[in-house]
Amino acid sequence: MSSVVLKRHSVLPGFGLTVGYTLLYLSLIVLLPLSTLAFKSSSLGFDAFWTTVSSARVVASYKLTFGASLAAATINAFFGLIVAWVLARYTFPGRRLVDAIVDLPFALPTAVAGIALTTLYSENGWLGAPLARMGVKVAFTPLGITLALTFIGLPFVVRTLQPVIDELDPELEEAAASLGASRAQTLFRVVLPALLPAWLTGFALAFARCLGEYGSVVFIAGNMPMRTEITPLLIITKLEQYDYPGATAIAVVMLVASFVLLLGINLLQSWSGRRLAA
Amino acid sequence: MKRRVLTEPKPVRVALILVSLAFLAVSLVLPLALVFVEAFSKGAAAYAAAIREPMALSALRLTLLTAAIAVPANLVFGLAASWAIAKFDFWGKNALITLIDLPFAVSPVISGMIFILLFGRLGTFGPFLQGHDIKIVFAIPGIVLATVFVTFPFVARELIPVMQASGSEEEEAARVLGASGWQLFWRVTLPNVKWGLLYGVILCNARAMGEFGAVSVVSGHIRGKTNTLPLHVEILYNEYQFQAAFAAASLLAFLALVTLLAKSFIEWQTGRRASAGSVENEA
Amino acid sequence: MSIEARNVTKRFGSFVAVDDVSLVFPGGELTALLGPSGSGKTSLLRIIAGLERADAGQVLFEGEDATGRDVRQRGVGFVFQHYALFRHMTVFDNIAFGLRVRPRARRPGAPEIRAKVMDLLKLVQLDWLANRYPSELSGGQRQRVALARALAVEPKLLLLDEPFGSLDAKVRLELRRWLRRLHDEIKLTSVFVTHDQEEALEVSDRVVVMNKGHVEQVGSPQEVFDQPKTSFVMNFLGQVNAVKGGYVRPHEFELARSADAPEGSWAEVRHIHMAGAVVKLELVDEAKNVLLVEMSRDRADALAPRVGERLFAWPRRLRSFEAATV
Repeated sequence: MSSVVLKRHSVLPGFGLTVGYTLLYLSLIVLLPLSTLAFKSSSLGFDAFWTTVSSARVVASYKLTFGASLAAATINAFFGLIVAWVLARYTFPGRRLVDAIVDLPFALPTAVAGIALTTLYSENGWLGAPLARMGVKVAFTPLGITLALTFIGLPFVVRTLQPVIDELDPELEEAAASLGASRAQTLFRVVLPALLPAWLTGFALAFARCLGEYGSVVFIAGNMPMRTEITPLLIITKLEQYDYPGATAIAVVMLVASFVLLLGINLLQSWSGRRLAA
Repeated sequence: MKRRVLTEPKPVRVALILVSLAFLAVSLVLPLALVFVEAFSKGAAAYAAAIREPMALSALRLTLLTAAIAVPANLVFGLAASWAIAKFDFWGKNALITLIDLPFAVSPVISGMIFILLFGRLGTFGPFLQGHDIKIVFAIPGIVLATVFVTFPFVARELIPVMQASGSEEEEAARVLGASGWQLFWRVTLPNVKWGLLYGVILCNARAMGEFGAVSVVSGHIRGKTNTLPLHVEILYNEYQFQAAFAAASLLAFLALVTLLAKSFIEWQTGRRASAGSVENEA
Repeated sequence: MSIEARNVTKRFGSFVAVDDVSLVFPGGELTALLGPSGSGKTSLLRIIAGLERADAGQVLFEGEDATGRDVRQRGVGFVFQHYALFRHMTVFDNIAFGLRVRPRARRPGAPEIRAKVMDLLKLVQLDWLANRYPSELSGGQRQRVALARALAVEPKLLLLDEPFGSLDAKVRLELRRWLRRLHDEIKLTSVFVTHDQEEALEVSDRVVVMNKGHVEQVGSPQEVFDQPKTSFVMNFLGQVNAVKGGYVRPHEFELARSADAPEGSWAEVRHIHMAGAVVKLELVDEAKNVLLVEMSRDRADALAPRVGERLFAWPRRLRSFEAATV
C-alpha cells in the first residue's frame, strides 16, 4: 500500500541494456534523419525560406491540402460519431463484420485505395458515371481529394470515440432520465458534452493524417499546379528537380503544422483523461 | 459492454444503423470490391498472367524482403523500449514515449525525403557514399530504411500499454523464485504480452508491405530492381494497364483482409479473456 | 533463520518511507508488521526480501550481512498482496516454477517436481485444482496457491504482504486461522504485513507496530494491546476514549447509578447497541465529550441502562503518555 505509487522495480534486470538500445535505435532511425531537416532548413536562410513557402504555387497547395483535410475531417467527425455510436450501443446482425471493416483504411495500402477510389469516381466509374450525369465531377477535382481523404481518416474518429462511448457510465444517462430529461435532451446535454474531448481528438487525428497523406490522394488529385496539386506531391516534384532547399522549406512548414496538431491532440487527451476521471 | 437499459426509440436506432451501413458501404466496401472486380475483369487467365509476370514477382520479392527486415528490427526495438518504459521509472520517460510516436506525425513523403537529404547525391553523406561507391537512396537499403522509419512505432506502441497494464508483480515473483533475466522474460513476460505483441507485429507488417509514399520517394522506381508491390501497382496504373494494376493491387488488398481478420481474432481472444477475468473478480 | 534489520532507511524522493529502523525477527516466529498505510511496513518487507534496496542500513540473515545479496540468492518465499500468480500457467505449473528455473545442476527431475508440487497442493488442501488456471480460482484459493508456490523453493524465510487484504471477511477469518495452524506445523520464520489490528493480534507471535517509518512498539499481541507504549499504539489497537488525564478503552469504563469513585463524571446515555455478545453504549458527559463504553451482556442486563438517563462513568484503568495527542 505504502509504496505503490513510488515503486521502483530495482530487482528486474535489463534496464541499462533496454534503455541503451532504445535510445540508440531511436536516435539512428528517427532523430538523426529528422534533425537533417532542421539542419538543412536553417542553412537555407530566412529570406530564401520565406520566398519558397510564400510563392503562389506553394500557397495554393497549402490551401488545397489544409482545406480538403479540414473538410474530410469534418465529414468523418459527423459520420464517425454515428458509426461509433451504432457499433458501441446497438446490436444487429453482422455487427462484428462491420466493426472489423472500419479498420480497412488502416490495413489497405494507400496506393491500392488511391487507384480504387480514382476508378470508382472516374467519369465512367461505378459512382463517377451517375454523378457525372448529375453534373458533378469528382475525379481530378478538390472534391475527389476530399473524398479520398475521407476514406483515410474515418477510422481515427470511430476508434477514438468507440471506447469512450462504451465506457460511459450508464448511470449518467439514467440520472438524466430520472430528472425528467427526454432521450434527445439526455443525448445532447449529457452524452455529447461527455464525448466532446474524444470527438475533438478523433477529428484532430484524422485531420493530421489527411495533411500528410499521399498515396490515396495522388491518383485522384489531378495534380494541376495551382488547382489540384497537394503539398506532398509538390515536395516530391521539388525533390525530382533536385531542389532540396525548396523541398525542405515546404516540408518544414508541414512538419510544424503536424507537430502543433500533435501537441494539441496530447492536450486534448489529457483533458479527456481528466474528464473521464472526474 | 455495460448493461444499459436506456436507448433510443426503435425508428431512430434503425435509421442510425442504416446511415452507418450505407456510409461504410459506399466509402469502404465499394472501393475494396472494385479492386477484385477490376482484377478479374479480363478473366482468371489474365489475372494469373499479371501476377506471374517477372516484374510483379520481383516487386513481390522486394516487398517481402523489406518486411522481413523492417518487422523484426522494429519488433526487437519494441520489446526493448516497452520493457524499459513499463518496468522501470526513469527521468524523461514521457518524452521518450512521445519521441517514439514521432514517425506517425511525419508525412510519408517527408519520411522518405529525410533519407534523400542524408544519403542522396546532394545529401549530407552523399559525397562520402559516392566516393566509396555505396548506394543507399534509389536502392534497396533506402527502401528498407524508409520502411523501418515509417513502421517504427507500431510494435512499441502496442506493447507499452499492455506491459504497463500487466505490471511487474509476476516478474518480481519469478525473481524471488530464482528465475534469471531470460527465464523471466521468456516464461513470464512474453506469454503475458503475446497477443499485444502479435497485434503490433500484424499492424507493422501491413504497413511495411503497403507503404507507398516514403518508399516512392527513395526508390527511384527502377523496374525489376527497386520496385515494391505498391510501386509496381502505381507504374502499371500510370501506364493505363488497369487490369494488371488491379491484379497486383488485389494481392495487397488480400493482405489487408488477412490483417483485419487476424486483428479481429486477437481482439476476440483478448476481449474474451478480459471479460472472463472481470466476471471472476465480481464473483 | 533469524533476521535482523539494522538502521534501515528508505526514501522515495523526499518521502521517508522507512526511517532508521532496527529490528530483530527471531527464528521460527510468526511476526506481524502492523501499521496504517504509509507507515513503511511494506517497504521494510520488500527490503528484507531484496525487492527494494535500502538507502542506508543493513539486513542480516542469521547474523550474516545480506544487504547486497540478490533477491534470487536470498532464499526467501514472498507472497504478494495480489498473489502475482502467473496467469498463463496452471496451478501446478505456478508451484513448479521455482524448481524448474533452477540451474540444471540443482534442478530436480520431473518426477520429483511432480511429487513435491502434489505434496504442497495437499498441504494447502488444493490438490484437486492442479490443472486449473488462476482465473478459475476463488480469492482464497489463489492465496493458498501463492503460498504453496513460495514454499516450493524451501525458503528459510517466508514474507507475506497483506496476505488477506483482498479477501472478503469470512474467508479472511478462516484463512488466517489456517495460516496460524500451518505455521505451527512447519515452524518457518515468517513476517507478514497488515493494517488490520485484529488480524495481527490473532495470528502472530509478535507484533511490530509501525507509524510514519518508525517502530512504535514491539511485543507479544497481549503486550502491545494491554501495555501500549505510545498514544499511537493505544489508538491504533482498538477504540479509545480521550478523557481528562489520559485514555480509556471502552471496556475499561465502569457505569453506575451513584458516584462511587473519585475519578469520573456523570454522563447521559444517548444510544444503546444491544446486538451481539458485547453491549455498546454511547454517552455524553457534562463537558459534551462522547464516551464509548462496552460491557458484557450479563453486566448490561444487571445494570439495565435506559436511553436518556444519567449514569456515573469512571475508568477502571487510565493510561497516560508523554506528549499525548489523539
